[in-house]
Amino acid sequence: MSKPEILFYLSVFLLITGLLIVFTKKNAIVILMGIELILNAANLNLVAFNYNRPELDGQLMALFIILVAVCEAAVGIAILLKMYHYYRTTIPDHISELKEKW
Amino acid sequence: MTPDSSIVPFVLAVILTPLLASWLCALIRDRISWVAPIIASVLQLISVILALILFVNLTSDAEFTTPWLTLPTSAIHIGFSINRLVLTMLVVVAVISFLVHLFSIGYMADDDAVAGYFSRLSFFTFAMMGLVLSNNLLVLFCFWELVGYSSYRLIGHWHERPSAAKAATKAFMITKAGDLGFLMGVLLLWSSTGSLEISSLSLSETNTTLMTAAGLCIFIGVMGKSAQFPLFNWLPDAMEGPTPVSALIHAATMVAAGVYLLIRLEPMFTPLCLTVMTGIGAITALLGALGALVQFDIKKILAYSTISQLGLMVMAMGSESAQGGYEHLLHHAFFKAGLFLGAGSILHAAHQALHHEHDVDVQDIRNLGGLKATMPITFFCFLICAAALAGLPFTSGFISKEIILTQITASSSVVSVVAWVVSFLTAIYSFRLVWYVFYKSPAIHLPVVEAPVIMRTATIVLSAGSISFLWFEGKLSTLTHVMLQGSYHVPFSIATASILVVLFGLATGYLLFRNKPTQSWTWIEPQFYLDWISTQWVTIAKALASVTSYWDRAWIDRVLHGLVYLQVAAAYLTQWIDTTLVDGVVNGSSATVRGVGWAFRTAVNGKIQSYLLWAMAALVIFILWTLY
Repeated sequence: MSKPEILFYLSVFLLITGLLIVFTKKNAIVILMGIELILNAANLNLVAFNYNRPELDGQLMALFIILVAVCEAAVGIAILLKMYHYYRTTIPDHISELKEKW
Repeated sequence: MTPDSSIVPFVLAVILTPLLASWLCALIRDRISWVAPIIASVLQLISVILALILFVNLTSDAEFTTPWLTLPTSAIHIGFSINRLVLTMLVVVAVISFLVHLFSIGYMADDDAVAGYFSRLSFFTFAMMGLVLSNNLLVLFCFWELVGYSSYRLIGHWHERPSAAKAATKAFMITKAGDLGFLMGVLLLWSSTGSLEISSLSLSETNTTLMTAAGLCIFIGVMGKSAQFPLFNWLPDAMEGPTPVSALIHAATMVAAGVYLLIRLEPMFTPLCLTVMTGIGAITALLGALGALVQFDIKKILAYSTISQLGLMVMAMGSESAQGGYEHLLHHAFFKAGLFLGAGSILHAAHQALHHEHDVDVQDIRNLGGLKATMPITFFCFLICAAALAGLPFTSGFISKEIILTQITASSSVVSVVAWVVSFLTAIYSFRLVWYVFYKSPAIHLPVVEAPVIMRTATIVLSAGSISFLWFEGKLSTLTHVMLQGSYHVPFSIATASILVVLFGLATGYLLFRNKPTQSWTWIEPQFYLDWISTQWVTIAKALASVTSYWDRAWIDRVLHGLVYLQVAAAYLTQWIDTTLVDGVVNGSSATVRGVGWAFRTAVNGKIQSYLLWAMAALVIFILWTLY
């Protein structure tokens, strides 16, 4: 098995793990963590597809994305904090003001 | 003549006055019931006076009609006819009814239900006057039924006595059997001629069979009402009513209605009808005379003599001697009412005399006797009326009987023999009655006194009406004869023979009853087995009814049940179709909608993660779609 192939499989594993976390976990923080895993799976793809090319724009792009992801995570956690502050919960299922009660 | 309609209210007043009296008496409270006789009698007197004025001012015949029931093809008119024949009857009915009212004041003085009695008596008079006046068979039939109804009420006046209630029911049922025939006759006439106007009835040449059938049917009604042969057994039982009622029934109202109808309808009877009438009349006259001969009850003797005289009248009608029959009807009305009121006076006096001992039957002539000395006025009146019944000269009965005998002797031989025999028997039983009641020494001495003045007056007037004291057209006549303006011719031979027969009858009576036998001839069954025949008839009818009822239960009910079961099964089937198919479609569609709604609703559950899952699934599907 070549190196990019290992990376692809790792990327698929990360994507599926992230998706499962996003679909099943209750807490918004954990869901955010699952989203980070999916993001990293995408990053791994960028790195893996750039493995056989002389240019390094793929790796650079991955680095750039990690940077943006850090900011995005900060913004996400800030929104979570705000949400907690307002709703007194971080579980999205409990936030159901628009839903009919039955 | 064009009918002078100004007398219409006058005629209505004549017949409506008794109705008013009946209505007023029915409204009177028990506390003041003593005014009822006065009201009824005064109003009846007014009716008599009006009828007399009407009669005196009679100029020519007239008919007053007004349409009552208009049918698409024809119309039924109600109205009345005014002519000499009708008005004479009207006057006689009014006068006798008034006298009976007068007599009842004394006779019913102690009765509890006196107001009701007078109410019914006036109603009876009203019904009979309506019957006399009406010119249409249907209207006449209505009044005919009213007469039957009110006689039923009056015969059953003492309805707390079982025998009276039974007699009233019997009279009602038997006359109803006859009325059925009358109704059929009316319908037959209606279908054959399309008209029920009495004036337009005549013997047409075309429909002889139908006219014969109609005439016979109407004669059955007359048989019931006028107590002719197979249907006469109600009349002796009707003696259970108060005696004045018997007088009214026998003289002017009930039984006279039948003969009166025959006279009114005289033109429509075919020769066959007339033959039947003659035969039935002859049988009735003979049986009635025989029955009167063996009875010991004073009222029943009079009842049987009425039957006999009615038979004679019907026989006269059948022998085309309408004038004789009619005059005999009117004369009979006077002397029979006189006899009944005389008998009523005697019974009243006897009851007054022995109000302690009730075990003596004062109606039995064997217990009476010797009343000639104690009740002279009643005796005299009774004697005159009995002489008229027997047909002695200088009485009204003599004249009418001569006319009848002349006509019958001229017509046929067998019937004329019967008429002469009946005349002979009549003399015997008249003698027997007077002899037992007034002459022979009584079995029990009753301290009787003469009846009250008011009762005596009525009896005296009636007996005066039974004498032929008027001189008219060169012959002795009675009042009613003059009113009818009838003329008669009786051969000297007939008159002589008749007088001889009557005298022979009186002599026979004297020989037979001189020693006052208390035993009757047992070989004559007074009812002539008619009660037995009626009972058998009813038994047969009952058996027939039970057969038909069995047929009903066994077959008709079974078929009906089968049909019902079929229907129930059909109902079950349709119910199944309803619940399963029709409801199934509706329920199924609603369930489908509900299921779809449920699916969508559960999908849209407001959970952000499930939305994500769907979105992801959609993405995967989309990708797969584009790749392959």
